[in-house]
Amino acid sequence: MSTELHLRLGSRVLQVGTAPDENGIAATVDGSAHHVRVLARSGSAPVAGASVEELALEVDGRPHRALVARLRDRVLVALAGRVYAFETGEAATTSGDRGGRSGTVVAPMPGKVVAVMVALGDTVEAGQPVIVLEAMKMETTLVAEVPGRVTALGALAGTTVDAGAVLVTIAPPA
Amino acid sequence: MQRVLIANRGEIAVRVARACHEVGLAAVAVYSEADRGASHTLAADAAIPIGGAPARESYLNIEALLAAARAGGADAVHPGYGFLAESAAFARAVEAAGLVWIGPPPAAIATMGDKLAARAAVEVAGVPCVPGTELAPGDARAATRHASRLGYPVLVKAAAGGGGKGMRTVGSEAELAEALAAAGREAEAAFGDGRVYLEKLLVRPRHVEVQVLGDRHGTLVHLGERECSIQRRHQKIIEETPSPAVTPRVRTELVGAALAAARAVGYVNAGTVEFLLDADGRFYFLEMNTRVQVEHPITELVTGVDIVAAQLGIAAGRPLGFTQADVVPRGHAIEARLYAEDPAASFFPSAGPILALREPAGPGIRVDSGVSAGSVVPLEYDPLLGKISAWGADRASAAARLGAALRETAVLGPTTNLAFLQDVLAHPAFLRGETHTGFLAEHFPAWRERADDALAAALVAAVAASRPLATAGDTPAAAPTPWETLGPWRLGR
Repeated sequence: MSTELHLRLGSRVLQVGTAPDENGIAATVDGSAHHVRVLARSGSAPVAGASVEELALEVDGRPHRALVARLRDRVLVALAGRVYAFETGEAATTSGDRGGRSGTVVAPMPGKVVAVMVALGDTVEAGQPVIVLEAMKMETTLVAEVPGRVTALGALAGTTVDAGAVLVTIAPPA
Repeated sequence: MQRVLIANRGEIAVRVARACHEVGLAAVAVYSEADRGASHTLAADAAIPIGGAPARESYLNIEALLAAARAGGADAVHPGYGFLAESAAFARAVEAAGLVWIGPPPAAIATMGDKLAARAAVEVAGVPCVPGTELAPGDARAATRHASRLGYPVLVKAAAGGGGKGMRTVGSEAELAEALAAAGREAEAAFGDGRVYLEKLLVRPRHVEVQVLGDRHGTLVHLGERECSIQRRHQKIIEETPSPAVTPRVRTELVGAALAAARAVGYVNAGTVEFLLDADGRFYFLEMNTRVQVEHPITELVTGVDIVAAQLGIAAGRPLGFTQADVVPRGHAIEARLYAEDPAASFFPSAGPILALREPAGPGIRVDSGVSAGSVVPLEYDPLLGKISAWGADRASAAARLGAALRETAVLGPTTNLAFLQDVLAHPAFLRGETHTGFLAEHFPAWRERADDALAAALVAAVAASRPLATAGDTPAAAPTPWETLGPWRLGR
């Protein structure tokens, strides 16, 4: 009946184990022991593809009230005015810091490319503006995270791009 | 006046619908294809589709709005804020269609909507203005000359602008050309008018504004000031009244200047005169917003005046019903704007379905919300989800109440600024009242969300994950887990 779960929060991976005991749940987080009691729990309902519920529980005697939304590979927890977006499944166990600098400039959300400020073959500095993207009537300037040479351009000015689209690829200097 | 078409969306459309119902008027909502079933359509007595998701096809489409007014049997139009609220052309079209325009006279909108005409009008009335100059389109050399005469830093602003769109700060000559181009593009896209002008940028000014209300019978009153210095991208996120920096002497001069500015254009209905206030108590006219403001609730909380209901009464031709002497502000109020945006990524807008939502409650707390669980935050519009305001007997208690209310609030789905707002409210400089328009850049240059309760949150996630994922066919509680079937829970201690 005990379960093991890997939860990635940013660059951190938490290993959570749970097993029922006579008073609730005996839990471990990264090896340290904690006690959890579920005080109240709403029925889980589907909302826009997520499984949503409200949970009240005690952790080591302290009460918490949370809203939880579960998606296929993510669990979102709203607790005490903050949101914790945990990645679960295979994504969570991959080690390494995802906050690392990348040679690709990616559209953070769908929008319209207003300006492409570099050309193929250009040498760019880290922090140099490369793309102006417009979404929700706001312009945002995307910058190169690494210095290097522009080896690919994924969008033309005036085109609409999806979130995650690779707009500029930069090869670091050899 | 019986039936009001609300030419807007989101929380302000909900606010106007409530006011209509409170004074016995019917409300007709409009919606674009992106807003089918949105909160504001459910708050009204009827809802009429007006076109495609892009605002140009719907909320900025005068023909579609007038057709909706006819179809909905409306005899008046409330524009809310944003979209066409400050369009003299829309106000004139509404009046030409024989409908009541719930706003100021179109001529006043036109004058105040043109930054340069507005400056000219209020300067004549003796209202101080920030040094600045108009730019001829495309004349980069003149722009450079004017900018160096004013002295850097300068501000590039859209002549037709508002809400920070088409505005750029320029620190040196090297940045000027790009800023002019970007501001012109943004202004053209947002207002269909790419003209820009230059203004001297004051150092660490506060943004202070005065709410005015005037009827058609010659009564014009002010409802005190609001300070809105906490801004990102030149858009306000936290506002309060009264301003911690405005002394009784400055207040007397400030409200006098606001009333003079309003009188200079024959102002009627609700409006807001915005000023920059420097460290020495000198203030300069910025612009007049000829509509209801996003942050009007805090003025309502301290004065007890219902500004939206007053707008309806004034438009119907009724006298205001009170005088300046009747306006006695009480206590302090602070508003926080809840935006779907990522404060850790340059406040970039976020969109998508709201999976779960919990709004705060309690003494002195007011929520003006435009969304609910299951509603979708569209990409096409300003990502304001709602506003949470707190009243307290003094500034410290209002700030404490608002902080607690935000801690109670929960939004799952789009990334929001909820945690950021709490960190700003708790900042020692904010609590000391040391606010200015560069506050966020100075104190929060690279904000990252803290994970204070990561342990408890991880345990919540683990408990939640012990239950199978709900699917569309599930009924609540259809899938009990071992935790629920283990026997009686001991509640309490």
